[in-house]
Amino acid sequence: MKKGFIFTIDAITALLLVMALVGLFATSQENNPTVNVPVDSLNQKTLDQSIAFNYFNQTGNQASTPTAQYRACNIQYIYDFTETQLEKKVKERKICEEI
Amino acid sequence: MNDHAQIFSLDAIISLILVIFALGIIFGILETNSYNLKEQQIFEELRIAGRTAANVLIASPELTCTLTNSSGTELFSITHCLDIQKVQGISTQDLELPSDYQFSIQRTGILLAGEMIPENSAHIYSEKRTVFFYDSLAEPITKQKWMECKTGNPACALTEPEEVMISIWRVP
Repeated sequence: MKKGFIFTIDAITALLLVMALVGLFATSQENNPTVNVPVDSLNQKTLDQSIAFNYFNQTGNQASTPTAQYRACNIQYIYDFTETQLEKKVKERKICEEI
Repeated sequence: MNDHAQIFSLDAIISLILVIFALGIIFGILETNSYNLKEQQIFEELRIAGRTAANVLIASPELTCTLTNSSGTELFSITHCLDIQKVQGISTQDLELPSDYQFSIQRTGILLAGEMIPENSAHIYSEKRTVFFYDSLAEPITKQKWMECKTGNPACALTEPEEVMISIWRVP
């Protein structure tokens, strides 16, 4: 009985230790899904739109309140040749995209 | 003697089983990580090549619209304005892609340049870019025509901004 008891404690301790170590290793090695790609894609989209829409004097999507998980905005400052920043006549155009 | 031998055997067997179990899990994780890393490297290579190609497509003077003055002198090229005549004949070299890559440029699902996306390719990178088109077949775009678009004149010769999809993949 005594030997069996000692063996049980040893085995359970070893098992717990191994499981803990393997669990820690597995957690540390886990690859978290990257969020760079959708954000990068949204950034690119808003940048493209701000340039393309500017040629046509269009406003694009100017949603002011974030509703989706990923959101990127591009703010464009438009100066007329007759304006200066001191006169505060700079037009601001914000284009946002979400997924 | 008998008892000791029995205790040692059980301990050893249980320990061996645990070690094999643990090693199996660790090697399994390492194998998965190695595979994921390789996939990420392939994707990253494709992403960089694809982003470069897309940037070249929308900004290269060889592919974009050329603005001229009223006497026909070329002034400058316009980014994000794709000249259909120029884009239709482009090659992988024009998009700064390595020779073992292929590309596809689609406008509203219709192939504009390059090749159709293969169905059996495991790794394909696609990117949608907002552009607009002009067909210089009839005549080059002048500053006067350009300003008509800026002011919202219906006579504007450019298409409305739309999405074009560029896809690239490595040829085996």
